[in-house]
Amino acid sequence: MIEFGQPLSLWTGLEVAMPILAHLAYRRIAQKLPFSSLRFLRSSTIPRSGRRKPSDWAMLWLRIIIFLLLALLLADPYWQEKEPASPQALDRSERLFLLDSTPSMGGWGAWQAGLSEIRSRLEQDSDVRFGLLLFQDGSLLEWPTGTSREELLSLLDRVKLQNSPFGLQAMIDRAPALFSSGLHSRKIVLISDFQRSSWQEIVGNFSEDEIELEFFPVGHGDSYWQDRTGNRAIVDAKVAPAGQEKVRVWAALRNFDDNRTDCNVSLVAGGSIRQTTQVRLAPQGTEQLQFVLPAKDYAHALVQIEGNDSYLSDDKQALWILPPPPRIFGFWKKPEEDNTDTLEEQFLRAAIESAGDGLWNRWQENDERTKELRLGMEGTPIDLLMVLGISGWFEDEDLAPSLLDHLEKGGEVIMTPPLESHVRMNQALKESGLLDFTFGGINRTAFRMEPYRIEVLAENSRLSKVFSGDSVRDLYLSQIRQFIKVDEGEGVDVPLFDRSGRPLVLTRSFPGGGKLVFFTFRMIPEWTDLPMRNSFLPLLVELGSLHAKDQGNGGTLRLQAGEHQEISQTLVETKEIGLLQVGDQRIEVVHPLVESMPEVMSKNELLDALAGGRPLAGDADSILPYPRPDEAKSLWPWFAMFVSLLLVVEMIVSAPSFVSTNKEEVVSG
Amino acid sequence: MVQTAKNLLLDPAHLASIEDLSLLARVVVEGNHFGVHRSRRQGHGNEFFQYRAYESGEDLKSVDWKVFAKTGELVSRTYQESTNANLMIVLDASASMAYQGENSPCSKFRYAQMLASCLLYLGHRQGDRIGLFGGSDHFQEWMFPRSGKESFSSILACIGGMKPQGGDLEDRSWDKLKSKLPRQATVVVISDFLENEDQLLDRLGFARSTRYACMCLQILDPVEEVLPDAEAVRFIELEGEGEVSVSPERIRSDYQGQVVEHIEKLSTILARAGAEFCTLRTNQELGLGIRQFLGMRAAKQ
Repeated sequence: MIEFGQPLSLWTGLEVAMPILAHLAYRRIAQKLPFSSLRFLRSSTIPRSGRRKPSDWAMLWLRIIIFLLLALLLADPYWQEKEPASPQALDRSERLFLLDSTPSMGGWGAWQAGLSEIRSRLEQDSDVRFGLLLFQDGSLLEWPTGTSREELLSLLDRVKLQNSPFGLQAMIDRAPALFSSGLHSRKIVLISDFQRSSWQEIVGNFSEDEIELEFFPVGHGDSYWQDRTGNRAIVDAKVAPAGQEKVRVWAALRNFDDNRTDCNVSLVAGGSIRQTTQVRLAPQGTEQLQFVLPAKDYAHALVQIEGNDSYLSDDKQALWILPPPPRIFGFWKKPEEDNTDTLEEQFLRAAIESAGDGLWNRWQENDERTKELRLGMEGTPIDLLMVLGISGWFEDEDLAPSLLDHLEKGGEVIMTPPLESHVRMNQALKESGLLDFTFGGINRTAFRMEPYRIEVLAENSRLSKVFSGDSVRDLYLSQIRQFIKVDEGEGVDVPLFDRSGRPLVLTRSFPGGGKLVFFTFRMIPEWTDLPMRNSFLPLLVELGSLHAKDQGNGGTLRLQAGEHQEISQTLVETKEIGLLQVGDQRIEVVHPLVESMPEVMSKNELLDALAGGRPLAGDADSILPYPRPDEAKSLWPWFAMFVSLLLVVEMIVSAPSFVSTNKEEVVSG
Repeated sequence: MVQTAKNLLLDPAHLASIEDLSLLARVVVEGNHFGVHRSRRQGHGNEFFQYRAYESGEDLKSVDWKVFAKTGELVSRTYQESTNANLMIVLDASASMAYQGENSPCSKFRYAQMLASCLLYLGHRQGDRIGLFGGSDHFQEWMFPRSGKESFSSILACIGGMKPQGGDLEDRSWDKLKSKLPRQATVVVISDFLENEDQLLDRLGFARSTRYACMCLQILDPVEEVLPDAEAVRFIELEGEGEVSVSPERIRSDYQGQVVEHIEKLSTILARAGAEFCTLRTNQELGLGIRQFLGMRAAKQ
């Protein structure tokens, strides 16, 4: 019997109305006739006469048949020898439940609804071999089809909702392998809330595996595939400074309902509600609100919507108010005012202030502490000291002991050479035990000569991991017009060379965690254009330990549930919502933000993603695996040939026959 | 009506198949005994006409001695005496003359060619000097009136070589005609007269003079008077680039009225100009035009 691969295309059969209408509204084509004079002719309307001749009726039927055949052609006809298996027959086979356990399933009773549905089906369908697949605690738990009902029912009591948004793609990829290899028809029942955030990147092709697919949406309220009406959410919250001794807590609310909603939003700090604000949310609208708190009174705050709705997970967001203390930096330079020092100081200051995470007080210059350190006073050490143009003044002031002490206590120092008196510089550093190297002169490029360039970074070096692609190209384009020649001594590393293999940067690490970075050139345009390149800040950060310090003691990482983070060379997986302490690192684990966006995939999108866009079967939420069995013979070429033949006949019959009434040869005027 | 042999010799459907206009003219004129015209004068003219048996008493100068030497029979040579009459044919060869209706035996131009040939043959037979002026705004053919067989042959060759093209003859061509006309002449204008009838009064101004006899023969295709039978026709003008789509059924009565009105107006204008006027259809026998011509000649003499 004839079956159709695209039965919906049969609707195009309605196009037969076109030749019928054309037949009724036919107006004979005006015959062109040369005429001696148009003087007595006035143009007139040409009546629509319709086709009335018997040959016209034959033409009409011919065209109707052509259009019908075209409609059948579009519907992809094929010849099916055997009767296809009935849906009932398919039901008596294997069925695998894929249960979504991502955090969004926690809202609107989706998780419980999913479990109930599985239990219900396990108890009802006695002829079917069931299996179950879901993601639990970072791995897939699988029970292939054929697992006993009792075992599956007992499992359902033990599985729990996850805090991680991961695992769906692994589940989709694994599912086909859990069916037996018999001739049973196979069906996957996919139970999920089909949140866009979770499913938008998931792909599969169950159609190719001859697996029938059924979508069972849960957590969509009373009607499936609908948005979550009644849901309100805090979609973002941040803390920012608000003048002297104050912080501003900012939050953004969204209403996912189609109706206007009023709600109270509270700020909880120090164990009690500090402020409450009433907010009116427009249909599907967003609002922003702010709270102001004393900066030093509270460490932690919570913004929450009062009067919880059914989707709880996005009704509140926690925030840390007290940030880690700022990192302190300062400069040492010769006491006399010097333009070179000032220029270099400006370059380095701008770079260091950019080296934080862009927040409000990550790095701070502190002259007071810098002076205290220079005078050798005990006090709070500074985190980064930059010694500019180190030379005789360094030796004259006897600053070496203080600097050495600072380095041994874990401080970091960046050093640049002077414009002259390099021998004294070498002597001062060598004798004080700060840095062992031998000065060998100055490399200068003459005017218009090619400047010195940075050599290709050593493979597997620390810098090569950071600089790659465009960034390394930028680094290699850096020009160095002058630098001092040095031969590194004991305990000194050379992370950067010029293209002749001469050291450009010397570093020395100290036992207490301190680090000394010595540039063999000054950070001024006459010596190099490096400070003006994009590579400068990353180079400065990587040569020192600014990055490590940024994440050091006192900082709080904010991670989403399910993410992995390497902390102190330990891989930490963030599972539980809340605050963790890993070594000296605080980590705040929050719900994945995207999970709180209650947008669901449409059925067609899911079909495209999982079943290659196959049409739905009789019940509206499932698809048939193969619309066309292998043994089917396509009738498409036959239909196409028949249509072509009829079209040729139609063209021959309908070709206009021109009758020239002017037999005299006329030479056109 | 029974089609007689005589009628066949005037039927344009038959005659149109004869390519040789000279033969056609002879067949029409001789075959139908258009005897109203006077016979050719025989006498002492310059142009040999025919031999005939010598009759006693005749001047021996007329005997052709060479024939006598060959055959032993006395035959007299007769010569044609030329008249002073001039016959000028003005033939319209504009593109509109090429029109031929669906059931018409020939185009208007072919009809005009045949009619002109017959009239010229009549004139030639009578010993008139015959001339031709014809063409359109694209080309003009001018042959000054002369007598003799050669003149007749060359005029017919000229007529036979014409192809209708372009628009009507322009004023300057008419001026040229007027300036070159002999002092006395019979002028026959053969055209469809579909355009420029208001200018005819001026163009044919010479016809008022007693020295000239003028006759205008309008050639029309029957379809031009009634429009073709069709539901929709897009007419393309032969002389220009105009096009118009019409439903002939809807405009037929109005169109016919305008054509009749035009012919009446044309008749009035030509009467004022002193010219005789006759409308001929391409499905009408040629004798109609010839008789009109002979009638006018008889009346003028």
